[in-house]
Amino acid sequence: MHIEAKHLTYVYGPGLPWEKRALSDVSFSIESGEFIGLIGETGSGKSTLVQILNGLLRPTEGTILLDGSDISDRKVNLHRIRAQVGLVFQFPEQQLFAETVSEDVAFGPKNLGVPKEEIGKRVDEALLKVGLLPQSLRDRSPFTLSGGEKRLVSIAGVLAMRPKVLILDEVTAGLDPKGKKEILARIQLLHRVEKATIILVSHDMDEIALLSQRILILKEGKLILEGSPVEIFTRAQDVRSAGLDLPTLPRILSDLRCRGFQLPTAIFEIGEAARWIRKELFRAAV
Amino acid sequence: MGDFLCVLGPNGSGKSTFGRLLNALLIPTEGEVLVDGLDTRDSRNTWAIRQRVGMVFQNPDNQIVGTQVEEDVAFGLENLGIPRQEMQQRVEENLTRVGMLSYRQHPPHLLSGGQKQRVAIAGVLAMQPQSIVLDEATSLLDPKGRLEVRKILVQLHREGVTLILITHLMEEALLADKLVVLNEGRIVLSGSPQEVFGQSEMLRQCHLEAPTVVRLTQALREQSVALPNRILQVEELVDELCILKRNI
Repeated sequence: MHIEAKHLTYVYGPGLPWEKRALSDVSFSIESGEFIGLIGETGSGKSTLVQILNGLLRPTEGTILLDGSDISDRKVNLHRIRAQVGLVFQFPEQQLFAETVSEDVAFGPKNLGVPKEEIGKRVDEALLKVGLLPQSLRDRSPFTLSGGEKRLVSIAGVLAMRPKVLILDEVTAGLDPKGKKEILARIQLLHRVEKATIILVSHDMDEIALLSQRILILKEGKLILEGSPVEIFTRAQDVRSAGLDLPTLPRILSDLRCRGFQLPTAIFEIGEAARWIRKELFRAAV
Repeated sequence: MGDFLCVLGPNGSGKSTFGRLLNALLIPTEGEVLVDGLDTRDSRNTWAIRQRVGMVFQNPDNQIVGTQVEEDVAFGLENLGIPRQEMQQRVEENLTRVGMLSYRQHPPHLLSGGQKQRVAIAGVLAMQPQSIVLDEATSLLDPKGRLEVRKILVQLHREGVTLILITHLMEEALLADKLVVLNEGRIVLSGSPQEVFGQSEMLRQCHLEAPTVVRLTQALREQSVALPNRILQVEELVDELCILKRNI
């Protein structure tokens, strides 16, 4: 699904003493099937932006086009939008409520009016997409699952609505390294195999660098940087001015370049970095 | 006394259980925990032990009780029946220690996550404990909040407070003098950060990974770049490489 945001502005409590401009004049477009990393400090407007993208908030000014149709238009059916743009909130496992996993995952499609006979199929399909076995989990209580599994079930609940765009807000927060790896591998598969358009909101720069094709950086409600991980992480100064830090590896390489090492900018893997550094040391010897 | 210990391990490895055994929130099924010579199995010791070993938990919202920052910090002291004047003094002193004195009259729910955790730490410090157990106290915070809390930990360590830090974040483990890695309820590795992070095979079995700086240093050493194996920080690695480059 193609997304186009034009001059988005959002103001909380307009005219009130605590009026807050959360987004100002944000424009960007996202191609169908792209993997976008959305980053920025707490309070930079990330959550406001993703809520506008799936129609939970209407922009104060500006328009947002999904495959050409304007969802900021008051006449648009927002239910349809939310089915197309799936939003997985932070700590989604806190929203699990049903007695069984299949009931929980079925909640979304049921509300969309999907026929009963099809719902079971959708549930199984969604569970498989996140790597969970329907036959062993379907009738379990979601509350007996591990933290990582609960989170996968919540994601399945969104996938069961067959969204074209999947927005994940801090999807690995609070998980242990193993749980993190599993979830990220699943998301990567959804992108590669299912060709889903994915927007990953995260504070974890290593995660963003590893997965995103393009990165958007928000600062105080403005879109200040946009580009591929290579483009973004070679601009250390700009990234730091947004209150963010580089992922560790680009940070080391950027510091080395500042001290006279000649290293390529597009290295995101440790073995490769080591080879280049060694080569550079050796070059100095000749 | 005065140690900074970090406990690492995958989910379900027993980290939190270990933390809770230290201040008698849990009583060992076998074996004993002695705090200052006090046995946690003896319920008469419970309050004396909890006064000595403070706890800071993962979610700041679950441990804030007051409607004002200073009220929250005073909560433990009120329960101990500390005289008002001393209470005020301890509240002020410890809010100063965590850099939150200017927020003393703020409602806690309007603070950022990092600020809330600093208030929670002040509340624990006000009880004048010898040790503090922090159970994933930064895992729900944003990078800025994490940095704020880590700064306080480094400062408390300098002041001689014993710290036991339970975490999933390898970068955070570098702050400690000693690491313990738990897996399936057993200690599988322990030692200095250099010693523990050198054991990449065992770490992998526990689904853990040494911090990027350490792994890059290891990769360079394997390619016979003459780096010392004590490097833990980005700045150290960059400095060492620059020295090498100059001397080659």
